[in-house]
Amino acid sequence: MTGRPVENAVELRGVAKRFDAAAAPLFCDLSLSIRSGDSVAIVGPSGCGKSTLLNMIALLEGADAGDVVHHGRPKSTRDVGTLSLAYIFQRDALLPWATVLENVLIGARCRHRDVPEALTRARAFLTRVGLDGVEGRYPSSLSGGQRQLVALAQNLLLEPDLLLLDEPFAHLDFPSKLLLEAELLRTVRLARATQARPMTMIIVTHDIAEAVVVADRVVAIGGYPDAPTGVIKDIQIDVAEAERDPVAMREGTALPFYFQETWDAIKSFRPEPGRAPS
Amino acid sequence: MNLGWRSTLSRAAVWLPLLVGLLAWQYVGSTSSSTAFFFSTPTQVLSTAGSMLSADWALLTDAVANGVAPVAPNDGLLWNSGVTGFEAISGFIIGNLVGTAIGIGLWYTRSVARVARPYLVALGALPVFAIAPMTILWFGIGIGAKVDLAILSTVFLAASQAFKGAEQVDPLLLRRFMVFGASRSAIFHRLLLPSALVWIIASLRLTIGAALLGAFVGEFIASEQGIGRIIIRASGLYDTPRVLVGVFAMIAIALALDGLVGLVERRLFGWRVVGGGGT
Repeated sequence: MTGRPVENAVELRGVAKRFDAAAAPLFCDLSLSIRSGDSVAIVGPSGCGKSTLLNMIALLEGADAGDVVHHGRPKSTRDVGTLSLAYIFQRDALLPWATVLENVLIGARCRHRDVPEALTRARAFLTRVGLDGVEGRYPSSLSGGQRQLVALAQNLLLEPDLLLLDEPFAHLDFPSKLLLEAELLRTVRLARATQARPMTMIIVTHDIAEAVVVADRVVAIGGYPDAPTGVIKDIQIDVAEAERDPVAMREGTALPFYFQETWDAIKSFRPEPGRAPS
Repeated sequence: MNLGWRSTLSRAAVWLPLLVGLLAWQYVGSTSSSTAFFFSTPTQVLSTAGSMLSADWALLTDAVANGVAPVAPNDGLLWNSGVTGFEAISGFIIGNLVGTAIGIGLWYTRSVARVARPYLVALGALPVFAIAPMTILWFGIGIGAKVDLAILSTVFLAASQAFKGAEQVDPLLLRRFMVFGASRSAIFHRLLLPSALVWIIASLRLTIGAALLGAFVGEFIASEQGIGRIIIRASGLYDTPRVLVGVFAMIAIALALDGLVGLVERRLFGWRVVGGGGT
């Protein structure tokens, strides 16, 4: 660890958002800072605005008020595509007419990266996750887990500074979910070891256990529709890197502890009409 | 082995209705002179087709041996089918190219699209027959006029199909490309065009009939050659077998066009076959 203070990769400063004038606001004066190189999980119930939050960070949606700040600079939706950012959606966004390998390379092609170099790394990634046998196949012939792995490869090939994941494993069966969580941890660890700049990860999920397993900070949010969504609980997960394993952690003592702490906060939370929790 | 003769049998079964139909037709047509007049018989149709083919042969030998170019109204079956096929296919290709370009262009300019949509629908719904007489004034009576009519009857349908196709682009994929910082042209050829292709192919299938009808209507109104001319002249003479030869020729052209579209479709949509191997 270096002595100088770690800068914030992402900051939300007093962000407000509502979908239409008649509806109650989804967010109102929401602030959240995420340090560069951190892994943060945002947990909350469906419909509380987790995806909207991520879309605002990705600059796909604009905030009505307040600033979305990347590395100290406020950004707007016009800046979409200029950030070193990767985004894994709930549903894998693969091109059905392109092969696995072509799908992995799409990002590199769009960003005019060195394609032969990207091809080598794409093959290496697919081999590492055991997908080297299917690189010529089309996404329709893969399982859901395999498709998300392809999406992961597609995004990590860009060596992003910021990796966003929106409920990436919500639609997978439980064993696939465990395997993918392990793969995500391994991949992120590897990327952090090889990339020149620190990689920040923000994952949105409604699964508290998943949040505790993959992140070193869990932010529970809630409120909507009775009150604007706000932060209910913000806890650090102190688990050594070496002990981070989706299966081992689910059997150990750390996970139940953090799970309980998060769950207690969510359970006892009572939204105050019109006021965001803080 | 068991499956072998079963599949042969089921393939043969496809032809059974045709065989039964032909036999019934032959029987009905042979019962009296009036039914023969109204319906003709398969053998009569065949012999008429044979005499028309021999007219083709005469044209060919004349051209090869004596260097005489085929003269326009003639009785050749292949010659006239070729003329109609050429008109329909040219109109089909040009109409679909122009229509697709218009449709995708509309996707980029939503405000224009809002205004243009009802006009497209209205023009697309207009039966080409209704304006055919006027097209003599606009386009004349040559082969070009038939091509123009075939274009007119395909272009609007192709445009609205392509627009619909472009609108079907998965918004998630669009976001994926935006996050990757893809340029407009990358979004166009890597996402928009492949997404719209399913609809464009559907439009090809839909417009086969329309293009053929355009060419046929053009020939019906005024022409020196083509299947439309053969049919209308034969109808005037109550020459039922000849009318039917024309009808079958039209069907053959339609099937050929459909086969062509099928080839294109298989080439473009290999990915739809689950587990299909790639390169």
